[in-house]
Amino acid sequence: MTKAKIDLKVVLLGYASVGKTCIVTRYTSGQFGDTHTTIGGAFSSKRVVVGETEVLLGIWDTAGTERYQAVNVSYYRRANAAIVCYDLTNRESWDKVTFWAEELTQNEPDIEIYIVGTKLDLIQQGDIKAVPEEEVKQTARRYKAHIFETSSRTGENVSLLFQTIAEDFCKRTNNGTTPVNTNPSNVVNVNTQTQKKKSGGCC
Amino acid sequence: MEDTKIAENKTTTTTTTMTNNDSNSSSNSEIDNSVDNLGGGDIEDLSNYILSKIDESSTATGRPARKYSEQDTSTPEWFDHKKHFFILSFSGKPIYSRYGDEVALNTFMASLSAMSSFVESSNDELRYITAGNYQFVFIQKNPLNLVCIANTGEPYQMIKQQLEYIHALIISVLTQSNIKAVFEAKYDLRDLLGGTDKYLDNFIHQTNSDFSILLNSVNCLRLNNNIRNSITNILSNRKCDSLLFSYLISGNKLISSVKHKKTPSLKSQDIHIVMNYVLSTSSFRESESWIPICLPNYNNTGFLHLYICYLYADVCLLLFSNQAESFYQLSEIKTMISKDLEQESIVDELNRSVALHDYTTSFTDVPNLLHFLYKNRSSNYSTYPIFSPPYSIHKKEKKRLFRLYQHIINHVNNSSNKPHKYYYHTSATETIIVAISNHHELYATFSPLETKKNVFESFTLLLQWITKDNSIIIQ
Repeated sequence: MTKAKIDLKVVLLGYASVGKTCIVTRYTSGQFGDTHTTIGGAFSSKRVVVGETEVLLGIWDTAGTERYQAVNVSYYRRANAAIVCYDLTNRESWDKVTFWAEELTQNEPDIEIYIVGTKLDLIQQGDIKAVPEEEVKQTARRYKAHIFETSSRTGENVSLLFQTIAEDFCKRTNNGTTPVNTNPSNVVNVNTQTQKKKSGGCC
Repeated sequence: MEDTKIAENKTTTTTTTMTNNDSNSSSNSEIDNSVDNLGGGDIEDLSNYILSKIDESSTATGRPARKYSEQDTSTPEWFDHKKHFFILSFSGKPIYSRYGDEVALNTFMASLSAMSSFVESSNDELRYITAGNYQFVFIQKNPLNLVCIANTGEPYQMIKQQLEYIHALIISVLTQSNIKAVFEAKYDLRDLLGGTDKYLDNFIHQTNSDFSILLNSVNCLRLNNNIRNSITNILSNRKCDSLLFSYLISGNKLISSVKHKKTPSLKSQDIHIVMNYVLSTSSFRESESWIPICLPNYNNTGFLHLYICYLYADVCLLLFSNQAESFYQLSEIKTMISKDLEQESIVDELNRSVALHDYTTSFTDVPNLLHFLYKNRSSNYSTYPIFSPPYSIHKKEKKRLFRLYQHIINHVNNSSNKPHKYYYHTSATETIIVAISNHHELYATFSPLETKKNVFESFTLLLQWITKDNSIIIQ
């Protein structure tokens, strides 16, 4: 029996310079280094295995700068999961999390949201968290979001984050709450996706 | 609209500010100071210390600090830069400065704004001011003012062209309609331009050293004509409804391009803007990218969508689409193009050519030739050799030749008389001969000691060689 293959579209959103590109680079190539301001969006993909299922993660890394806010809609449209990032040491970046969570719930009600605090290594080195944990939990409850704290510098929790996203997605598809995209080829076919209406609901 | 020169005495004040501002000279950068304090400390300690300093500055702003960002009108070093570029709003609000922090240069930019509005109040337009060795060049592009202050001795037209390229880059990020909307809403444009500094810095550098920009043309990668034709065929076969143009480039050189729809072709200025984006963004190398981009000469009111993907180490595919949703379709087209290239076994030949595309004048077999520039006027493609001795030895010599070409190109193209067909320039350092026809422009450089007869003979040979060799330029 061949493994079932499913496509999973993940989008990264968040304030400028919180480290969205770094998370992707760490995850896809295992590296950490200088990145530049992202313009528009960058697509990369990686295969993960969850039990008997092969999940093809299509990761959209978006620009955090304000001028691209309007176009980011086209990147998160029909995404299955969203990673909303903020810098653990930067309060201003947290304010943007609510903005994105709100916008996502409005436009893509089926999307699974992961609130990710980045630059965990700075906290471990003694920096103070800019946002109290209770506040993060509250926001997460409001948007039924998951919470993660990662460090792209050390790699801590980065793979775990994507693995969890894939596992959660498989669980949801197996429960039948979201239609399974059983496209036999590895190519994401936009047309079949648009035809299938999602039935909504979140675990 | 006539040339406006403000009398020397009005500008001397500015000139004095540019030179006599030594009062606040306590301006070494923080890192420099701390190096002094550490004295003869352990090298490893020192580098760690510097690294931590850099870390601090980058966590503060989120990005590594920009070069020269600590300079402003109170630091003498700021006045040492040969060529300043400023972007400000019509009301004098600072938007960008090539050197130094634009906010700290607030008052300086306000004076620039005053200069241009002084002339504007008499219903005229300030084009440039000469003050000693400095030239202040202004262009007004509602609602933006762009200013260059240079003591490089470049012709006014050339600096103006550079300012126009920079303005086009700003448009490509935001579109002209958005810029106007931002100003009407009284927002700060810098919020929207965030992160664009690097592209502007790189583009300014490029306009100062790139012959293809100087010639307002696109440089071609040297490639066997048959290979190039096969590539063009592949590009034109793989298309979809939303696809407007397919481009294959290597660095800032064009390998092949195809226009799929009945629309105007892309202008060289737009292509340079796109190439600047691609070259300045290393992350494009790692994944497929999908960016909104405005091409000012194509349509300055809206965005096109650009698919960017590196097929091989130095070969980048660009697909321009008019639909925001066509990413996955274009990604499939990329896969097919790359399969086609492999099947027709073009890949090896292409990558070999990309690695060895540079050529020197000796490749032409034309005797005594030191350097040349060639532009096809109907296609706007250009080709030129890399520098060889005596120019390749010192950076200064390369720059000098570049500046000399600037003057000659300006002279033959922008002179008020009838355009020149031939032009012969000779000085203590070189002889440059130029031929201009409807079809092409050719500038060839020889030693000043060469006899006229030899120069003419070589020049004819060179022209013959260029027309015969079909690999150096897209036919």
